[in-house]
Formats: sequence, structure tokens, C-alpha cells
Amino acid sequence: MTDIQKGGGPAARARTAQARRKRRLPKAVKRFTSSFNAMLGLAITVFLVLVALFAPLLVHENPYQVDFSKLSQRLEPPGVSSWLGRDNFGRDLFSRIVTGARISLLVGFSAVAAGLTVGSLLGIIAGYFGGFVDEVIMRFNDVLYAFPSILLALALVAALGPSLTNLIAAIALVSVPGFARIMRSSVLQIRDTELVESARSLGARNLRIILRHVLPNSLAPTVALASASMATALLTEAGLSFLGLGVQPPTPSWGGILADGREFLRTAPFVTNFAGIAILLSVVGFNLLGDGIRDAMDPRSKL
Amino acid sequence: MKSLKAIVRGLVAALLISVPAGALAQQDGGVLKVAVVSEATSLDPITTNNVPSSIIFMQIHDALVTYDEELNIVPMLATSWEISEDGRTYTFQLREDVTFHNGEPFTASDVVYAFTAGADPQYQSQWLGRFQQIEEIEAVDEHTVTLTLQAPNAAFLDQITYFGIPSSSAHQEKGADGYAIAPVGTGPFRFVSWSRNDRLVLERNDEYWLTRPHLDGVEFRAIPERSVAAVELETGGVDVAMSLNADDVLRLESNPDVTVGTTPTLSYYYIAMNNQAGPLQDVRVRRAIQYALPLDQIIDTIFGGVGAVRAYTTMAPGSLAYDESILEEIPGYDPQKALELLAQAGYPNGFSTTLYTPTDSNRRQLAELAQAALSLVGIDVEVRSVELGTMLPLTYSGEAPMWILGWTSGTDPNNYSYEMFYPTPEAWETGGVTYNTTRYDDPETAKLMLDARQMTDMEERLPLYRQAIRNIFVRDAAQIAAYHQTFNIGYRNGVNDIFLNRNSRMDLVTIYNNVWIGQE
Amino acid sequence: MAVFLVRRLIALLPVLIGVSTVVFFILHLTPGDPAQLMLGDFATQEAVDQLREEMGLNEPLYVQYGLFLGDLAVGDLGRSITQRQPVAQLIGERLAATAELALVAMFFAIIIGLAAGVIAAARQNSITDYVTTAGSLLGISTPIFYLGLLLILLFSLQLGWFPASGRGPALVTSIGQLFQGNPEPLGQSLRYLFLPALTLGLSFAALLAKMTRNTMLEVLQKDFIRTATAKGLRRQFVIFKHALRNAGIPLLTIMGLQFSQLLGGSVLTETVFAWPGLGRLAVDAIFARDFPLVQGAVLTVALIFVLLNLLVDLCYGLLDPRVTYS
Repeated sequence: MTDIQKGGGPAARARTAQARRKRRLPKAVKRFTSSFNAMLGLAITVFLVLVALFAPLLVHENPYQVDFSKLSQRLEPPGVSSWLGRDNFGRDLFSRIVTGARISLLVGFSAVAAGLTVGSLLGIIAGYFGGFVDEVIMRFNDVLYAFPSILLALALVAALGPSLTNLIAAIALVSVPGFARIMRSSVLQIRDTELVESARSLGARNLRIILRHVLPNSLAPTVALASASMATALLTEAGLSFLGLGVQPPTPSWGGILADGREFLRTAPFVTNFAGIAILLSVVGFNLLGDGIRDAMDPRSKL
Repeated sequence: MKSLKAIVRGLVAALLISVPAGALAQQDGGVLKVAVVSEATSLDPITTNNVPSSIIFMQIHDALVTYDEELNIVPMLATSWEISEDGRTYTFQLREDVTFHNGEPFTASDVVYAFTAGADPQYQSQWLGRFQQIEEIEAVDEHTVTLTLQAPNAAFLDQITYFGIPSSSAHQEKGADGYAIAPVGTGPFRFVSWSRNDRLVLERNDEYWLTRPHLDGVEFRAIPERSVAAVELETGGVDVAMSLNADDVLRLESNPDVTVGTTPTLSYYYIAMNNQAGPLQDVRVRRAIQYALPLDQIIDTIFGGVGAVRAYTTMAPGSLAYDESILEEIPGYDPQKALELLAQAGYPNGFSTTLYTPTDSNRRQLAELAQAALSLVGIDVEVRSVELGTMLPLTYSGEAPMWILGWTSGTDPNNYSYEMFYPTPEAWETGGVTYNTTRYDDPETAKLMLDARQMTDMEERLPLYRQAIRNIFVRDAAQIAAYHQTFNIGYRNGVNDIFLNRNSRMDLVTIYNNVWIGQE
Repeated sequence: MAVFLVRRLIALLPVLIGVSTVVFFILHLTPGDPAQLMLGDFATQEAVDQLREEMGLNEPLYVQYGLFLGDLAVGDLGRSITQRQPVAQLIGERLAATAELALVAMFFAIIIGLAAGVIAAARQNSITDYVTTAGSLLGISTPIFYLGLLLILLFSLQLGWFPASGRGPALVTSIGQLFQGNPEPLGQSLRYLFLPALTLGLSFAALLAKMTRNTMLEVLQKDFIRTATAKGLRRQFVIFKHALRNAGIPLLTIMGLQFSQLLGGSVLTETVFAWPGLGRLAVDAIFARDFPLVQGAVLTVALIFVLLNLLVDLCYGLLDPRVTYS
């Protein structure tokens, strides 16, 4: 902001806005920490990430490989030898679910990161340049929006072949339009405000304006959507597993364990229940965290 | 022949689940509600032969010939038939007392129409591949038909046991697409209504020429989730649930309201290998894989002892060409021997390969366990679970090194040997459709199977098939036989005289049974 | 208004063309030969080749695409490869089933979601608020097929209240019967609808509850509510009358946008409950490489979605007189 000169014109207004935003941060942190839901969400998310990071240390049996000498312990209920019981191949369910945290979070994070990057870029381009560019991008966005996401993901995975990468790509694509829409509307809201006009009048370049002004203002809804998309990604993965096109065996993913375990729902409900609880916990965690961040940063927003 | 028949009869009798109806008063009435897994695609027997459709349209139609309880081929719409000296021409005498559901009499022209249309490319029939062998069919008189094949095929009658004969006038009038949703046959039940993916309703054909069905009607519902079908059975939402999960079978056996019927089938599930590419070209590698798989344990884990029996060859226990003496010759579990063979073949450190499997739970589990076992001998297997639509082209083109599939095709040993292992070099060259996707190419075995196909006396054919199977599975280790599926259904108390046959079908009204509902 | 409507309808065209284009290319890049799958287990290469020729699958992709768009333009969705029936007819049969499932699910979602949201907002930061918020989160957090199976075990197996699967008489027919003095078919329809609609609705209710709570909290801060309360109006009355009406527009928007997700959820719900709807049809068609059927089904779903959102836009005007159409 060194190029903004002192004075009572647009520059001053821009600077006040900037200052206001700076003051906003400590307030936001305070709001966040004082919210029970937000802190709970943070705790759950941190816990999950730690579990995923340290999974290899927590696991005490091979979560992938079937041990033929343990086949006779098939579907053994939770007990001393295995805290969460054993799956239909006698594998330790605890080890599978802990490793599953890695896989499921990897799918979720990568898909959301990819969707967020592509979506936001499209949104920024559409919003900033407007006109024909906007029209084309947003029509494409509408097209993606009009598909039920599970059908689009299913068709894509069927076309590309089921693999971890293709699964991530499919889920990412499905999440693109949401991010694009948010980013575009943030850009539009701000594009014509005095704030940006003043910055522009002072010779700030497009990219700089976007980075300085638009991005911070769109952060709250984007973070909220990203956390919700994490949840959606986990659920989409589970849905694809249910239809037989999830993560490939023997890789453990929560959705896969849940979908495969439903065959034993009546005789060994613990398999599905533990996988279900894992999904539930993380989805709740991501949702609370996302809502918490959004409420803290922008207490007036709804979306 | 006698001893063999006795064995088959004994086996079948021991395995049958058929409620003895002798002393009970059989009652008429009631609609039997049946849960099936997959929806029928069409009710037109001329264009369709997939199993989900066939189990339903064969309640509405009859074929020329049928199976008895022991799977011998016996008369149905044809009262008798003669096969010419050269094995190519069949002369069928037809029943004269049969009428279609629309009241028209059944005649030779209906038979000629059905076969002609099935072989006509214009109808895009799933029978086309089977009927291309028909050179000529004609009506000799009102109730006599002669049918000539291009080459003798001892399995021909077996291949048409589920080819129902529609009313030719109805089929012509409605067209194949129209007939597919409003069929008119001669069978025990008439078509009433079909709302797809919901329910398909049939009612009794009071004029059925064979016998009067006890049931007022049958209602089929497609319930894709097997566990939900089990709940429907337990709560009385359906009377019969076909294809239960192994775990549900074990659980339902202790349910006092439900009987679980079980019969081993002739179906054959296997791990295929492309015999003409990569490390798997080498018979020592294929045999090493046979040694490396603890199949007894694997099958027992997946099916809990109730869903399937282990297979050694294509021939299921109780089938005509079944050969007990071959069992010991198939390599058992011995990972040490596997390692030795791999070393001999030049793969002391193993190799990497890909195993394709369809997405159903049983075969996915087989793939996963095979992967675990093969990794112990250094073979690194990547499992890819894909739908059949993705997988089949890969097997035709020879791109897939290993894959899991299943095969069921009537009862004749020809269908479990010649059809799967007779060389098809032209298709291999072009990547075209073939059943010998294993790319098994052995002239000696091919000749055995071709000779046997052209003989008419079953007693003479069997030794040839046994030798061919021995070549394929013992000498050449061309394929890993995995399991023969067991056909399980659950039905509620009060459903009587249900018969499960070994072609994985539930019989309702046949020459040997007639299902009725009522308390004993 | 009429001009606005026409313009919006015209604007839908590119979206629909886009959707069909995306589907067309995804499908044609999918490995698997429809001709092979159609001819089944005993196909021969000769027959497959012949059928491919007849189905036009040997034409270059752009020719096939042109033919596809041409047929589409005259409203011809083609003929299903696996079921050998016109696609339009197959979709028509299923449309009512999916529509009634989605509508009743939406109904559940609105009842549960609004109630939970209003209660949570009215008692902000109380135990009731936390419990309601947590409870509504469970709805979105449970994979839909798992939720469905659990509900079947509880309501069908244990309690025996509702059938586990299948569809009763069509809802429209049943309602017609009701007006002729026969309530019995409607009971049947609803008994079968209850579990699948609840399953589908619950996943949606959570979102609505969250939205309702936040919107209500915001509206409750506004001056006119304070004034109303200050004027001595009963608090409950204020909440329902004023706040809810003001929360209407954002909620409506969310419902419109999320409707395609609801239809997406129906894909899984219909499979679990053996419900004869569009979602199951589409999944089966994708697996069977039934190209015309997939195209038809996806296009129908997309059409419903865009029309619904148009409707939502029109509703803005009813709820908020400040909105004008231009």
C-alpha cells in the first residue's frame, strides 16, 4: 500500500477499509474461540488429521494384506485382540479404519483442493472480466450444476476406470461449480465498490486488486463451502463404493468398509457401525469447523 | 450308462430341496410373491436369453424340450424327436392339444417362426450366436418340424431348453418391442402387467395343457439390495427371496418362519489367465499360481460353506462329465512348490500383473484373497474392480492378463469345454468376441472336443471330454477353477413343492412339481 | 414478466445442450461396447459388427454427435439398447415415481428442517440449540444407503410399521381416489413412501435446519422484530409470522440449488428401497452402456433442475414485492 498517498480522497477510504479488515482478525479469533461448536469442530478435525498423519504408528496389524492364518477370526467382535473387531477377512478393523482416515482424508482434501482452485479461478475470471467470458464460464458452470453430483461422478468413474486418482478427479469436478459461483459473486460485489475503484484509480493492477481485496472478502463463504465439500466428498466416495466403483481393494477407505460391510450388517453390525461413525464424526467435524470459521469472520453472512 | 445315471440320480436326489407333497392336501389359490435381484430386460424369448428375463418368460412360455428332475432332456411342446444319421437333422413331432393364451392353437408354423426370427439379424436377438448354426427349418405338416444344422452338435437340444415359443401371430402383430412387454405364450401363467423396476404380475393359465397350476398367480419384484430382500422375506413382504447373501442364509436357517432351500448348480466361476501373453504364457507360471492359492480356505471364507463349493475344473459335481479322479491331479496349496516353479520359469522374484474382477461382492472378495495369496510367492497383483461392460472388451482384446468371470450354459459337457476352450484364432487376431478368451490353443484337445461334439452317444462322448478337461486343467493349467455357486433361496412356511434346479432356476409348475400355498 | 420468462426459457437451451454434450462425450469415451452387451452371452463377432453398423456406432464420433443432436432437436430420445423400448416411454414411466419420492422427501425435509431450525434459533445457545443442531447434522453426515438400511432394520424389521421396499399405488392416483371417498389407496401409497422419503429427506433436512437457524438469528436481530416484541406481541407469534417470512427467500434459493443433489440422493435411495424411479434407471443404464437411456435420463434430470430453479426465481417475486423482472 505504499503507493497510496495520504489525503482525504479515495486513497484514504481504501486505507480505512484495509485497517478495518486488519482489526477484524483478532475479533474473529475471539469469536471463534468463544464458540463451543467451532472449537468442537476444530478439535475433531485436528484429531482426524493427527490420526491420518500418524496412522502408520497407530496401526498394529497390516491393514491391507490378508493374513491367511487369521481368516478363522473372520468378523470377530471387538475385544482384547482387536479393539474394533475384525472384518470379513480377519483383518484388524482398527488398523483398517485408522488407515482409512488417510485414504478418505486424502480423497477429500485433494478433491476439494482441486475443485477449489479450479472453481475459484473460473469464478474470478468470470466475475472480473464479465461479458462474454463470464457468460461462457457461467453457462458451463450451470451445466455442471444441473447434474446430480453422484451421477456425474459415477459416469466419470465408469468412463475413466475406478482408481484413487480418477475418484478424486470426479469428486473435484463435481465441486467446481459451487466455488466458481461463490468467487464470482464475491468479485461482483466488490468489483464496482468504491474500494476497488479507488485502488484502480491509484493504478493498482488487476491481479493485485483481486488478491488484496476480493480474496479476503470471499474467504468466509469459500472456507465454509470447502468444509462442506469435504463432507460431500466423503459421502460421494461412500456412495460410489455402494455402487461398486469406490476405492479399489485392498485399500481401506471408510466408504469402502461401510459399503462392503453392509452384507454383514445383521451378523456383524460393528463393521458398518465403526466405519459409519468415522464418516459421521468427520463430516460433523468439518461442518462445525467451517460454520465456525464463517461465523467468526463474517457474523452476518448466511451461506 | 446305467451306473452313471444312478450316480447322477443319487446325487440329485440327495441335494434336492423339494417339499414332499405326498400326503398333504394340495390347495389351489394364492399369489406367490417372489423377490429377484435383477430386473428382466424383455419378455420376448425370441430376442432375449439373459437369465433375469428368462426365469420370468419361461413361466409364460414353453420350449420344445425341457429337463426332468435329473436334468435329462425330455419332451415338452415336442412329444418326440428323431435325429438323422449324420447328426444334423432333427425332426420334431409337436403336441396337438396346446393353445396359446390368446386361444389360438399351437402349430408347426409357430416353431418355424420363432427359430427363423431368432436367427434373423434384424431382430438383434441374443440367440443369434446360437442360431447361426441352423441351416434350415421347415414345417413338414401342421405338427411336424424339421431343423437342419450346418454341423452336428450333440448339445443342440440342451441349448434350446430355455427357448420359449411365442405365438407367431402375436409376435408379428406387436413386433418384437411390443411383444417384449405383452407376451403371449403357452405356459402355466399368463402375462398380466409389468411396471418396470416395480412389479411384474402373472396369473394362472386355467387351460394349461400340462396341468392346472395351483397358484392363482405370481408377482415378481426386483430388489437389488440382497439384505433388503432378506428383510422382506422375514417380514412377509415376499414369499420367496432368490439369491441371498451367504451370511443371510446362515442366519435365516434358524428362523422358524423361513425355509432355506439350497442346491448346488452347474455354474462355474474361475480366474482366467491369458495363455498367450506375458509371464502367464508359461505353463510353469500358471501351475505356480495353482499351487499358490489356498482355494479351499478362500472359498470357505467367502461363502461360509453355504454359498458355493470349490471347483477343480469346469465340470461341477453331479454333471455328466464330472470326473472325481481328476481332483487329486489338480495342484493343491503348496507355496514352496509355487516358488520353485516360478524360479524355474525365470521369475525367482515374481512379477507384477493385474487382476480384473466384476463389482459383485463375492468376486471382489475372491480377487482380494487371491491377491493376498499371490503376494506371498512374490506375484504382485493389482486388483481392478470394474463393471462387466468395461471388462469384457479387455478380455476379448487380450489386454487383461488375469480376470474373474463366471459361466453357466445348460448341462451338456460341450458347453463347459468346447465353447470355452476351442481355439478361435480369427477372433484373437482381431480382438473380436470369443468365449475362448483364455486363448487356450491345443490341437489335440481341440480335436477331442470337436469329435465329441459330433457324436450322438453320450456314453461315447464322455471319455473324450474327460481327457480334454484333464489336458486343460492338469497338463496345461490353463485356468484356475474357483467355485461352483450354490443356488440359495429362502421361502416362507406355507409355500410348498418349490423345486430348485441345478441351472440356478426356481421351478414353479413343471412336469415334476406344482407349487401351492397353504399350511400343512 | 412474459418477456422475462421467454428470455429465461431461451437461456436454458445452452445449458441443456451443454449437459447432453457432456454426457455424450463421457459415454462415448467409456470403454465397453453397447452392441456386445446388448447381444449378451452368446454373441458372435459377426452379429456384433452388424449391430454396431445398424446402431451407427461405426460412424466417426462427430457424425454420431450430430445425429444425436438432430434427433434431440426433434424430441426423439431414441430407443433403449437393453430394454428395447423407446427411451421417452421408459423415462415417462419412472418420472412420476421419482417426482413423488422427491416431493415427499422435500416435504419431510421442510417440516423437520424448519422445525429444528426455528427451535434452535429461538433458544440460541441453549442445550436445546446444541442438541437440535447436532441432531440435524447427523442427517447430512450419514451416507444415505447406510441410513436407509438402518431405517429399514428399525421400522420394517423391528417395529413392522412400514414395508421395507417397493412402491404402492401411484400417489396421484391415490389422491384422486381420496376425492372419490376412498382413502385406502392413499394410505398404501404413503406407507410405501414413508421410509425412502424419510431417508432422502433427512439428508436435506439438516441443511435446511442449519440455514433456517442462521437466517432466523439474523432476522431476529432486525429492528422490526424488536419493535414487534416490544409492542407486546407474543414471542412465538413474532418468530413465526415475521421472521419466517423474511427467511423465506434465502431458504427458497437453497432449496432450488440443492434440488439436483436431492435427485442425486434418489439414485442411492431408489436402489436401497427398490423404488422404480429415474435414479435407478440411470445407474442401471450407465452400467449396461445403454447410451440413449443414460442420455435421456440425465437430460430429464437436468431439465427438471433448471425448470425448478426458474420457478424459484419466479417465486422471489411472490415473496418479495421489491423484486422486479427485467
